[in-house]
Amino acid sequence: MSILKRHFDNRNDLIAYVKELAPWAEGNASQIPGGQRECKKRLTNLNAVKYGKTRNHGNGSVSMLSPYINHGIITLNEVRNHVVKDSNDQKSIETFIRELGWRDFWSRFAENNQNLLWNDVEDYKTGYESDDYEDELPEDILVGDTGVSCVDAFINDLLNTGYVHNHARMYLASYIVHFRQIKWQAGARWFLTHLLDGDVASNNFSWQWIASTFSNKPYIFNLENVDKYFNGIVDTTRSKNRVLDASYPTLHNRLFPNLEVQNG
Amino acid sequence: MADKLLLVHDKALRSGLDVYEASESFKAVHIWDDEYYRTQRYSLKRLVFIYETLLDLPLEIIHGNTLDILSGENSDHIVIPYSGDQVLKTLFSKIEKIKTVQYLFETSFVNLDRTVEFKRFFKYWNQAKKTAFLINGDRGA
Repeated sequence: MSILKRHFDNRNDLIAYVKELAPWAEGNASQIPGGQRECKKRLTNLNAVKYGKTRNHGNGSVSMLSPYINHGIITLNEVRNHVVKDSNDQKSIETFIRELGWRDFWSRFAENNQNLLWNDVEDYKTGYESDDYEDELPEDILVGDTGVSCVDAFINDLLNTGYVHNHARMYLASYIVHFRQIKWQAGARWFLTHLLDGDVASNNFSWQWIASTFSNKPYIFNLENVDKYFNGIVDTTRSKNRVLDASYPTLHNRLFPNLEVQNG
Repeated sequence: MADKLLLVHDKALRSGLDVYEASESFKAVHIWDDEYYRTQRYSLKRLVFIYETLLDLPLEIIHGNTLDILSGENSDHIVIPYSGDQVLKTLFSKIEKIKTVQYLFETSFVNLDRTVEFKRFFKYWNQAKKTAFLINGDRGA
């Protein structure tokens, strides 16, 4: 047992110190800093109304508060109170408050269903059984070299910053489970290692929502959708994202051949 | 001399815990437990974020095994901010075997019976939205 240091000359010294404490830990430090002041800054800059209108876009007005909420630097109650006291129009802040609700919903469900955090809540609704999916992530995904440009860019965010836009998380999870046919658990474990806001309940049940083991159907996406929301942020050139370049019915029929054929 | 010990874990790194103010009777610590952090499989990004946040809090950061350190503490009364995290809950139950544990609970986001289970978000939200837009989730501002 020893008392650890509390004073550092600069952030690099702190990073070196933590690295020495945990030589087994993967990767490098993120540019996103921890701390109360950073949390307050984000809370002050939060624009819940703008969030509601732009949140699906890669450059949308997202709060970036999730790492701070996850580590209890601020609570859901405090964030909600901050937003509500400045608003006299419930409708305009509804999207933001509902997103906080998702976190509360997952946490409540987890509290009563700890055994389902790592097990399928329901069967896959993809025409496949759980055993049809691979157990581990392959190397190309782990290092962000899948050859699908936008997917690699999102993986790069995950590995370097520990933060991925929520819409991009859905794309990544869908790519892993449905395009590569890998168990959601492998992706969920990987996200928890790297995401600064990685919370097992929100993370794992969101993966299950994408996988269809905790929703009514699998979530899939195509290049047109990525281009609509992330144009100019990631490379959406067709030749560099071929596997995603198809209509929804075409992708549905390709990815889920055991399900009823979709026309369109 | 502190007669209670506040155990601050990585899911409760807030300065707003009232017990920090009761410094006469509380000693606050974070135990940097290698085994715990390895079990969580946190990357360096996450560990730096946590350590950086700990530096803002009025507590001592102790390196070692949680149960060994708590066993050696004079205080029999351990106060812990509650967390539903699976790994933490396993640790909490081990602590309960050697010390008296008192949990601190956050104010709920909404005023809903925790025993009622919703399997789909829309069903939860239909009930939750009645108090989700109220200060303190309708538990008294």
